[in-house]
Amino acid sequence: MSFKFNEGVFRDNSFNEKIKEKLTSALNKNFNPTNQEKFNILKSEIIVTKTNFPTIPKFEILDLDINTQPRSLVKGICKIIIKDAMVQLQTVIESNLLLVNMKDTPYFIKPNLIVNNSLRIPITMTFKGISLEAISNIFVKNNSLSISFNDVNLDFKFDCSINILQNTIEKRLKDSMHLLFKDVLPTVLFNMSQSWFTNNHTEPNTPIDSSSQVLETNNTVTPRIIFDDSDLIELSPKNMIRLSTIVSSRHTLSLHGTSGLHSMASIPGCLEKQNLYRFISRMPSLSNYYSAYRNIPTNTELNTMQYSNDNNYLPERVLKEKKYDLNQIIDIQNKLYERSTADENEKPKRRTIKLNKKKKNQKQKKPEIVRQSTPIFEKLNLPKMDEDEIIPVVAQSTPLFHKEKSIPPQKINSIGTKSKRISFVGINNVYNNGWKWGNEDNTTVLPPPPYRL
Amino acid sequence: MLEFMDYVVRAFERSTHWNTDNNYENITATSDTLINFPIPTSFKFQTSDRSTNNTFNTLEITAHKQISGSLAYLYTDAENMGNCMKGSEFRTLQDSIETYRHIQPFFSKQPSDISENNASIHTLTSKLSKHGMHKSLYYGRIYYPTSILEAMIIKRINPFNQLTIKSLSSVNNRLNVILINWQKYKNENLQELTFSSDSSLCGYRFIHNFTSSPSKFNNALYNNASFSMGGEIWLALSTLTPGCSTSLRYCTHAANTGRPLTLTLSWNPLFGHISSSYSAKTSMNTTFAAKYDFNLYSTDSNLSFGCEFWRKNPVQKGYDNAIKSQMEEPHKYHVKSIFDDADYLTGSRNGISEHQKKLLNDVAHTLSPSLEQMGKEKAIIEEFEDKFNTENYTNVWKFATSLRDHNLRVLWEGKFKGFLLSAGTDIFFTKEYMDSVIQYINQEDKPASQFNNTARITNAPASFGLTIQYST
Repeated sequence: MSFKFNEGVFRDNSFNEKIKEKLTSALNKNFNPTNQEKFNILKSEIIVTKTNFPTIPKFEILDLDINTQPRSLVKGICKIIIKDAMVQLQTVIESNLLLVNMKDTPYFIKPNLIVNNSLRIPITMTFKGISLEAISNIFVKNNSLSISFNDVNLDFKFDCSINILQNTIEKRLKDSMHLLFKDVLPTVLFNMSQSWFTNNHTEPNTPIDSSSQVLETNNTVTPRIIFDDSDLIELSPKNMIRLSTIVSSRHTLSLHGTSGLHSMASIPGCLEKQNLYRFISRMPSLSNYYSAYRNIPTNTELNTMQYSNDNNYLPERVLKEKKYDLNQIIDIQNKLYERSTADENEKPKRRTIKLNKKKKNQKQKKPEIVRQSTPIFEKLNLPKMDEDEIIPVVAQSTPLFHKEKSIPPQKINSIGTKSKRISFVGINNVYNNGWKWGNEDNTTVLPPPPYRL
Repeated sequence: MLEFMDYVVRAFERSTHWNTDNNYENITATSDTLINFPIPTSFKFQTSDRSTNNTFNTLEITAHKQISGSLAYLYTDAENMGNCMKGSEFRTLQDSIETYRHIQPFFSKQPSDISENNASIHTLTSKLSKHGMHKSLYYGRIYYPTSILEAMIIKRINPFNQLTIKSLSSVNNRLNVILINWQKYKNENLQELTFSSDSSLCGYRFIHNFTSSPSKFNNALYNNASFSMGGEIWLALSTLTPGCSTSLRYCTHAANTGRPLTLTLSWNPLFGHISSSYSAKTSMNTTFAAKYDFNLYSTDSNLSFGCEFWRKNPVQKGYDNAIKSQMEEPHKYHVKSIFDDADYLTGSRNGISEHQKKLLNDVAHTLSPSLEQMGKEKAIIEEFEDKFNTENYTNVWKFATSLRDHNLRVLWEGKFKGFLLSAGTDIFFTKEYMDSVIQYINQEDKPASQFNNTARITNAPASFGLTIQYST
């Protein structure tokens, strides 16, 4: 996945105007001019009179990780450097703070002060030479963006039109800066991104009748497209072609593989839904290895979904005819275990019974056997499964496909599949807890490994 | 209208001879009561009872959006409370509402003369303590349903010191405040220290009365003017916010009519605010006040007016006139008595030689026209004051307006069958309303309906309230 970083946005002078507007509206969120009865030190709106960002902010990406964790889509570490910026604020304040403080005290205990009047003073605050250096972690989640600031280095020169207040305001600003970067900014960004990624927030909170509620639920289902036509120009055309090929390749109702027998997909690195059974059949598993011994059920109903379930069975016929090879089974299980655990050094817990040293020598031949354990596809027709083992897991298996594809088209629309993915793992765990695999311990029963390409 | 508990506190201070007019806090009281009088904002019913001579209680019910109430108890060990206060049926209206304050000149009010030596002060204090000067007042009030508790203790430590402790406590510990106020009276000065636990507010107040000494009083023309100067400094320790002000007050009487007038000038040096007021009783039944505010830094200005109209029952007018004619006779006699058989002439006859006596008589004779004049003036002034205090008024209208705020404040207070009633409203003329009025004046052919429409929206009274008080 690639993206273009448009520096022009920052180069353009309209950026200054835009930030002036944004700051003004953000600062005045709490100010309510009609609420004059409640005494407040602020007497008018805060107006951002001047902003100046003469240099382009340096935006250095130190680390970018896409789709590493199940929780976030993109994780990045950035370094932001802003230099020589200037912001000027203007507002009107009440001069007599004693009057402001005493306005709330009850009449009974309020000392009566003579001519305790106040006047309104316009105040101009100028922040010059703002230099910000921060290292921030950025997580793009399914429907939100969270940023945390780690190493903030902020420096500015403060200039106030009222000299008496300069020191106190400066002191308070420095104190509150910590809070701003730790708490205020991340929450603001998070809330903003949430409103950006989903359109739920536009729905009014007022009670609505059932008909409109249906409408609302419909709205939540429909993904919001954040990119409009103007944005498409800025996307990498090569990527777009790839994406469109993936999308168009799915525009078929065929369940049979479209490409050749041994190739998984027409596009390298991609797995198509209709070729999934091939992929699964190549996975190391007992049922695949002994697929020749399978019972062919009388009811020949096409169900490709079965493949996600019967991946580690020993067919009954094998046991009856005593065709199984213990070493083969061990190898298959080893292979499965290696796939499932990220740590290669971790050895599976296994109860071993040493009979003689010959068996140990046999084990050392492992690499050769491994290759054999990968089943060779002999039959073209779809293998079937025992009737009593059919468990409908349609909902579970679908997210698997999302995972198989390196660039699912949905990601552009940023529909969340997080929750579904989690449930897939969880349900399979429950399902697998009831029975043993091969010669493994009960305590180390493992779920089917996550398939990785 | 004075609340019953405030009335009791005032009676307590009167019975213990503590002059509240000498407080710096009350230096602008006259103009405040005429212009910034409080207006009831809700329906309030208050019934008070003097169960014994020393205990009082009040039940109050307020209906404003929801019904709430309060219950207050008060105990004082002051002696002659019975004489100082009456039930609402027998109380005069002037007593139960705040109005123009007749500031007594310093010397005439104070029993301890500043010219006298320490020994006399000692005898005086011993005398006062014998009478029981260590009086105190305890007050408690609980509000329902907010469960806010108010408590107050006023304690006269000695004739020159008074301590007031007020505290307020709310049930959820959100607001627990204690306010300690210590007043010290020495010679012409009254000093005051205040501490409030609310943002650790500390304050110091000071007032000085410039006055002519009593000896001067005996020689000069009758002079009832008083001139006071004071100042205050405040500092909230927790927020380090300061406050200060300084004021002048001059009270005098018009020489020929005896009508009192008060001038004040206050200045807040920190915020450059100057406020001057002029209040006068133009006749027996009317009082006018004007106040001008100006800020040196922001050049904001404000001009406010206030007036009072006292009204009598038309039935009682004839009766009053009869009393008035009767009053003329003793008053004339009073003028003569000062000159003819003045005490100092008879007293001086005892220890002074014949020659000196003759000289004194000559002096008295030469000064007699001015002394006569003085007596006349004093009589007029005292008569005016007495007459106002004894007059049986039934109701009073109060109006106040301010040019900057564009508002009209109206308050009616009266007595009806032993009940004290107070009703008031505050009408705001918003800018749109003013504009529409100007438009209406300029274009007279404009349809009237449109004007009425705007007026109805903006001319609604901002607040309206009624208070009923009954006490026994």
